[in-house]
Amino acid sequence: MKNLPLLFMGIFFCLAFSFSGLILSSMIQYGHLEPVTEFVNHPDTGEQIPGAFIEIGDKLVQGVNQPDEQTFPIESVGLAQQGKQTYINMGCLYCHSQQVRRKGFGADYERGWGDRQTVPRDYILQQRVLLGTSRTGPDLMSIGMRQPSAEWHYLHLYNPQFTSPGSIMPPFRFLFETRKIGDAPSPDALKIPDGFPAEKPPAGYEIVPTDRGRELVAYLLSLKLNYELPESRFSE
Amino acid sequence: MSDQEKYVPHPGEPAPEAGNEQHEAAAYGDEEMQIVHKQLERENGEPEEGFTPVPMVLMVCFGLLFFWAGMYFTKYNGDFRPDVFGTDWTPGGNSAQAQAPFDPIKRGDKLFSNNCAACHQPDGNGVPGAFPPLDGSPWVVGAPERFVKIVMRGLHGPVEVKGNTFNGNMPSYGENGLNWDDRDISAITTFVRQNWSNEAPPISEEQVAEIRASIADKTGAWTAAELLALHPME
Amino acid sequence: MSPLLSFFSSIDPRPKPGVPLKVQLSQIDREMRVPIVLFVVSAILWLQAGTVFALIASIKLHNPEFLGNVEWLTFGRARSAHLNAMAFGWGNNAIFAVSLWIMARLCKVSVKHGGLLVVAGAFWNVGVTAGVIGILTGGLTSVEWLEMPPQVAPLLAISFILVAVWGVIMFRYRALGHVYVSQWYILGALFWFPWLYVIAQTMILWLPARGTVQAITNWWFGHNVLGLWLTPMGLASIYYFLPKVLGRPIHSYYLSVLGFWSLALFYNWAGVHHLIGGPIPVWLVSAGIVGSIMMVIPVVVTAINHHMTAAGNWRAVWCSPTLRFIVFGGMSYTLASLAGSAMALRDINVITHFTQFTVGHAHHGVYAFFTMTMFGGIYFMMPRILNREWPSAALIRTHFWCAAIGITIMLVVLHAGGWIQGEMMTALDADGKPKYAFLEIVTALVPWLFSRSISGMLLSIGHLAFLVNFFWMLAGRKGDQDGPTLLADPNEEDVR
Repeated sequence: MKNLPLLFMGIFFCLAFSFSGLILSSMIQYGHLEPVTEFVNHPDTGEQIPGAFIEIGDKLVQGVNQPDEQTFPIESVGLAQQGKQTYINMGCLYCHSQQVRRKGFGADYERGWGDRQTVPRDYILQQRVLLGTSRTGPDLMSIGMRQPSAEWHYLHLYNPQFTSPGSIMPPFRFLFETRKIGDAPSPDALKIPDGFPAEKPPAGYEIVPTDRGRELVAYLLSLKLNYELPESRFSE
Repeated sequence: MSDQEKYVPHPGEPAPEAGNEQHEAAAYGDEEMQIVHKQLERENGEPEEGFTPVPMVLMVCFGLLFFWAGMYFTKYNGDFRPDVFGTDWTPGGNSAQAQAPFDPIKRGDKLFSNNCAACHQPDGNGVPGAFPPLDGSPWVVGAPERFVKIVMRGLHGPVEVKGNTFNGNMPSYGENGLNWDDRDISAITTFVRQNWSNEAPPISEEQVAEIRASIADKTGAWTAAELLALHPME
Repeated sequence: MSPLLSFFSSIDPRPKPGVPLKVQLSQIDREMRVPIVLFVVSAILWLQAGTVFALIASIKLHNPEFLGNVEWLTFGRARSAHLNAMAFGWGNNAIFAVSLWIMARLCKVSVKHGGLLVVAGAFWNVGVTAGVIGILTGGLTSVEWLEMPPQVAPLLAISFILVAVWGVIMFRYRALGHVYVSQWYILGALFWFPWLYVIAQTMILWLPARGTVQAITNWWFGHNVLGLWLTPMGLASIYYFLPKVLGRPIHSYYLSVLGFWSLALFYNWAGVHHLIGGPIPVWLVSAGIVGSIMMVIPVVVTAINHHMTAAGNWRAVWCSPTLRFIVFGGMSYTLASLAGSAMALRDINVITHFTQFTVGHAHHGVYAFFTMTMFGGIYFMMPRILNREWPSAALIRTHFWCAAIGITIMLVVLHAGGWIQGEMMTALDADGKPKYAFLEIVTALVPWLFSRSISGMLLSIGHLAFLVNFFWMLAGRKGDQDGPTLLADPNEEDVR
């Protein structure tokens, strides 16, 4: 242990080992997945196969997409894409995960966070993958299906106590503005519940989401797990 | 000389160091003595290592650990396949599970707690001023058509429930929304009609299918007035 | 002498032959004074900043309306500012100071042109400041352990390499003879960290890899910041200060070798245990679990080595400020690592994953082990660098007890609260329905989070005592006594 080159070689090899074992091999194995149809066909015979991959000889080959079928996952665009930026820079990830574990491992399925486990392919069209490691709040992988009401999301973001008494989620009032009512009340003005008189805007004023608030809710509503993949089917 | 005495000097005196240290101190010239901080004078020499051998028992334990690691990884490597995510996978195995018989109340319960309870609350009483109650609501326990139609297209604008007026937007769970099938819509409406103090008769899948066909042309959410015109309150 | 030759002789760090050891050490202490004071001052200021962010984040978790309308302090940003101020502000500055100093002493090389080190260190701190401000103002990346906006990464990488190169130069020109275990750890870590950092920045933020390959990269990096950066530096400090202060050799060279190589080989596989059950193929998860369990080897080996060295000298450990902190750190290393290995097992992970248990575990490693060790190192190093004694034993005692009791409370409440949270989260009733609604779990967690804030306040008091004592010393206040500032009278036999 006195020889610098030898010591250095060892130090280099140790990290190189895990780097190639974990990262390079992941890249090679599933770093190039593409969207697929809900069922895929055998590349040679053209018959539908049970999973995403089939062994042909010694090789594991991915099935081919069924023609004229929708492929999944679907890329999120527009408002939702912009809302993801707000989700990221507010640090929502530090309390909310976006992954569903398989049925029987934890209670993700029973809590209705998703009807199937999520797999690598679910995330391939996301520029930034937000799996998360904390569930101080519930998982959000399928929040757009579980809670499709924009109105609920606005109230909940403005003050989580409105809809979820006892919640420890921070209020995001800075994603809203109080403004004078114009010719007619805005359709998306918040309807503050009767139990919170102090939160109601002064007469003649209304509370409406800002652009960032609207984008964030569009993003949340876009989070859905309503499609199956050949390698992950809905559990019954 | 114990270790402890070696460690701490007497105030104002140079540390009583081990023999070689004293030789070293004697070797300092006057000028060098000046630059050696007093903290250094008392400190021990640079650390060294002893050469006690590694206990054999420990090596055996580590050997066993290696063996365990090999076994574990062999068992749970999923054949290194990119599409195996669980530990229960076996080569060529079929992971299809036996299906439990369908229970509309159980299914409705799950759907309700996942999709409805956030607004209408688990006790079915809603949030005064924001979300209407379901418990005891005539919209729920009254005519099945009215209830199913709301679930299938959503409801928009003012609605009066149990003497209070709510002005909101209920999302759609039908074709222009979450697209639930007949079975799920029958399960959720039946569950809500029979939970808490509600005791209305169930709504069957066939009834749902009929209503679905009858509103195939309807786009967008209902208003309360529209529905009341079709199905006046009992 | 030609100008070129005189330049080279001016940077030749080898000491003149024939100079006695303590004169050499004294020279090193003097040459490193300016950079080390800069690093330690920045470290301590970052520690205070990190503590403030920590308190804000912690209070927000049980009282969401606290500063609720300040956008730049919303929970996600405050906790990320806390993490980065602590890891890259406090942690790295402390490491730069302590590890470079240990390296210089063990290599017995003189440090010429320390001014360059000061410049590199200054840029590092500018980078971290920009990064933390970036987090607070909307540049948060939501990639765990890489929260700072990617624009500051080049600055950090360059200034890191400028600092790290010093370590390599020292090692290259070391005095011939035995190479001590601390030197291996420091050399390894100085090389590992930039590799990890550059790969993670590139594959997640600059040229994002596809899908969950990002997640694998993220946890390979995130866990290795602890495993291949903070841990080796902490261990290097224990390996240096324990025998140094006790004046007896480390128990076994062979155990040291075994501990070093098994850590280097296994620790960097362990990060995948943050993704157990997640959307990655099962073989990767199993590899991560095996790596985590095999960490038992270096941990047990290191624990035996340290324990056998300190055994029988508990009075000295009790009296010396350095050793009190170092031994607390060493024991925490053993406990935290064994707990970490256990948490990687699927049956335990299914409960602890996604809960405050993980948060508790992170503080176990980074605070109870790493930070305590660095405190100990600074208590030993500064009197030699400044040629002064610590002004107040009472303040050191306050620091130690607040830190030790505070972190113990925090660990107990986060582990207990997290376990309860995990049990409630996974509990199913006879019908296969979740036994507890989500809000019931949140409500049950609040008292534990509240207790965590209390423990955080204790830690803050300790950090303030440290700050006061340090700046007092820097300002020239000397201790009342002639000898070292100790926490108890070593000649009293009663408490042995």
